Amino acid sequence: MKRTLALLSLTALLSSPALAQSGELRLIAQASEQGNPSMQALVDAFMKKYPNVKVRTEFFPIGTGYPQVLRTQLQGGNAPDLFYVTAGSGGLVSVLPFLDAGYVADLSKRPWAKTVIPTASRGLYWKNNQLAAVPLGMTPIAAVYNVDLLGQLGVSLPKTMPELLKTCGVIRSKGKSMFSLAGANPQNGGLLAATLAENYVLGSDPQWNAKRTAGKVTFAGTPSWKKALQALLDMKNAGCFIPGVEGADLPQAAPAMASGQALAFVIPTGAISALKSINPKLNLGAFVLPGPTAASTVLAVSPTDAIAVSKNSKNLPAALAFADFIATGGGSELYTKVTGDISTRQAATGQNLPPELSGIATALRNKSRIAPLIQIEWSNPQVYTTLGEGVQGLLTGQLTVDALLARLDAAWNRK
Amino acid sequence: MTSHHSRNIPGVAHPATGRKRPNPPRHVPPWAWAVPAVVLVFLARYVAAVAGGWYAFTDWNGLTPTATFTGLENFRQIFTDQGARTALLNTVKFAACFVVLTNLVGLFLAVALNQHLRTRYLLRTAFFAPVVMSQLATAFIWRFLFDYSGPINGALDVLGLGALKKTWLANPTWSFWAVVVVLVWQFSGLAMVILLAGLQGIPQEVEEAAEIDGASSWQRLVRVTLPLLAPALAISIQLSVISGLAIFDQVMALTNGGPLGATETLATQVYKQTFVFGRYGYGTALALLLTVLIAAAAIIQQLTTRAAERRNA
Amino acid sequence: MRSRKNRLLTREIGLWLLALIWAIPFLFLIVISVKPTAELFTSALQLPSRIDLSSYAGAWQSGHLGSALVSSLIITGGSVLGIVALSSTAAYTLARREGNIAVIMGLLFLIGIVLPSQLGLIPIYSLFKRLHLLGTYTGLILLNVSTWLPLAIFLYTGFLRQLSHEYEEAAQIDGASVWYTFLHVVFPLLRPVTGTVAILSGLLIWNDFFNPLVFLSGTGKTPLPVAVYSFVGNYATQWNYVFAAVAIALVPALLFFIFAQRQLIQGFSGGVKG
Repeated sequence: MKRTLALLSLTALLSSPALAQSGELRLIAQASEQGNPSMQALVDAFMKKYPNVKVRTEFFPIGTGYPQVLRTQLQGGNAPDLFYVTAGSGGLVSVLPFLDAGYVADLSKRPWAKTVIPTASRGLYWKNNQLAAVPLGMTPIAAVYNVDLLGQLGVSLPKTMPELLKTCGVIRSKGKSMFSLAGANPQNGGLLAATLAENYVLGSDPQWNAKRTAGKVTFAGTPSWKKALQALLDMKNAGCFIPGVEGADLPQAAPAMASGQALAFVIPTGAISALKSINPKLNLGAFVLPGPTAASTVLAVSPTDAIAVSKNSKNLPAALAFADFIATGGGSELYTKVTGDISTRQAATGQNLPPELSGIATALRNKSRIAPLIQIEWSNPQVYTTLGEGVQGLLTGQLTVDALLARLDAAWNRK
Repeated sequence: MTSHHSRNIPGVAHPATGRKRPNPPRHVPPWAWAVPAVVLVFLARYVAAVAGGWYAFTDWNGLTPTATFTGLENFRQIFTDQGARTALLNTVKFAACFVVLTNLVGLFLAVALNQHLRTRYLLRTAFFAPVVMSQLATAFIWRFLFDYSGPINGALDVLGLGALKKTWLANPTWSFWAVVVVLVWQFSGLAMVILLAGLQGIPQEVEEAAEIDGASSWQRLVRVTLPLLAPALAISIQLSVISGLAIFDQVMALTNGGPLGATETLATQVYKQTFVFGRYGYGTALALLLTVLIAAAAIIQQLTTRAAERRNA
Repeated sequence: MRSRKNRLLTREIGLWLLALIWAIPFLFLIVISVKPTAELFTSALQLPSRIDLSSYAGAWQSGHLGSALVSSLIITGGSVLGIVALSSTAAYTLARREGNIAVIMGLLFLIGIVLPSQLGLIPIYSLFKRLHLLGTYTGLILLNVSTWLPLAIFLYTGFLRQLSHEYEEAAQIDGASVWYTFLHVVFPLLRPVTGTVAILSGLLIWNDFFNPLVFLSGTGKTPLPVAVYSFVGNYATQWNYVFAAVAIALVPALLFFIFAQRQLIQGFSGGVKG
């Protein structure tokens, strides 16, 4: 036994430099379903390649659990070696504020640093010539739909907003809904509004975020923002959403989609595996949420999920090896395969996509009509939460489009 | 009022008879006995609160190594912010409903279950059970009940009252009351138990004497039972005022403060500002304000109770 | 006499109807917990086609509820013991001593009740890190004890002020030490208020989610409320597992109430005198 082990480690030593790293690492992330199987699969693959490194994983409840634990551990001087973050600055665990505060290691000297981030998304990871994290993959936001239900309903997928509104009416008359939506969940409500803004706002002005940051435009003063939110109201009035949409949270909205009550659900494609776990028989496809015209449609694809390395890691070489493994060791491919996201390579070519995503392949190849999610560049997390809570206000009729836009500017400008 | 526990010791004279005031005992416990408690409370509550509370006067975002002192700026912002005013108003409304309704329902249950019903222990357990349930589970199950395609609307449909169906947790008016229903459901049992305890201390003879005198049950409740129940009510109200002003879990999990702030409270705002929006300084200032509000309410309540006790004595 | 009996019977029936309404959430909790996974998202009012107890077994195993139950018992038991021991002795000292120090100490504890604990989260976390208390039962128990001490001392002091000194004096005339008097004479007399303190703080600690999440993360020592959460997903939640886990967590707490009912009611009654 001992001999075999010795022999094995010898061959491993000869075949790869992986034994150069040893010791322990601690990685924390939010749980997706029971634990976090995709992250665990990634970690297991890493440990197989680096047998002398032991990576301990801790997964925390989704929602507010993880952000608070992460912040407490960072501030309390108990930083994990590796931790899950999202791109940019607009979310609860966005990486750029962590970089500003000096908690994450600069990855700009890694051999893959220059190529790992797609050009359109550089601003989400690079700041002051520092690279803040390594993305786990690319996340398209698409309308994921029930292929079998589409056939039963006898409708075709809409290419423009007017078509979509008409389709909603047809589907409603057959006792189903076009879209599931968790209107009471700011993250999910905000995602629909942001995806609409992708088409309406970035579709007509790709530099809108930069102009907003420079203070040259405002939400309230941008007509395309008005149109985007008006489109959401139109969808509501056309009966596009499930009944009681304004009070639904994800535990109500996801099953409505999975059980065939609603045709489609605008979500990150990484949630496909979760939908399938509710109903394994589900036959899913994806289409791009239409804009005002077929030509104006923009697909939101961004390297949303990422892993950051702690600046004060006691085992920095091993932690950096983990980042290398994600970027160039096959880690990203492995992770995205499990979740339903796509690797940077798949995103670049639009080829070898999982069957569910074949419907967005053409859009993926049309480089000029792809942009990162609009909100991940926003100045602080309050803006997106305001948008998400405002969507509920639009749905209940408590808020007008103009009033919501004014609130977004106020949240952006806050001290 | 007599203290009934002294009656439990046979052979010991009741202290109230004989002397007016008992003499102090000859040996008193050493201060050392209080030291562990003082040290723990001082360290874990005072030092920590001051170390954390200091941020109320800064613009700290919860992450950067340093924070800039901004004086009372955060407080100025609170008083000019519409959202904070709504949250303050909701907090007071929630607390008022919580205190009044849980104590009324609790009082009703306590009086009803103080009688010699055969199944009273079982019934008490049934009404107390929600108290034991974790906030998390409570919110899960009630979200499910209140869902638009959930059992409540389903039952309305069955009863032919489909017109009354609502999205309970996202209705600008009804979401507030939906949260109140959950609070009353969960905490009336606690008030019941506290008040039951008070009722046990009222000698049976007093009530019976009143009954013989021909008092109706309502008169007996108002004239005899309630005054004797005052100390128990005071404790129950005190606890519900403190927890009512700090209502957080139920709102957060049921409505997330929505729709559009309709159920936002100071406690949910403290949480959101501090941990969700990264405005640590502002959130801390809100937390300090909430503390002052609770302390003031508790002290006022304590003083009124004392005054009432003195009047009655 | 007969009419009185009838009246009591009607009242009992009325109360049972009310209790039934009170129990509706529990009924749904049980129904969902025994629904087969395939039927979870049918109609809310639809009863399961068969009773499927596999969610209980599944939750027990994959949620590690067995070890979570043990952790919950250790944390709650340890904290309650600590609270009772420290608060009863401290309150006895405060109640039997006079002068400014006692008054100031009383005030210190009183204000301690309302001080917001979340403000101190990060300072305490750093302190625990330095003292190597993170991820230990001792650390969390210390935190729980310090959190609920002020309220416990408030209840004990109120009770003690009303408690006659006669028994203590009698014991001391017989030559008993202060310690002996406290342990064998005073503490038994405090039984009712001890019940109140134990049950109130026990409930709050049993259901606490946040502190164990932050302070025991990654140790395998996480208690039931955190374990229950492990079945909650972002887009898919295993509801039959969640509710089975909730039902399992309810049983010990309810049993405790049933057995402690008498004690609890007496306890509040004692506290009420304060």
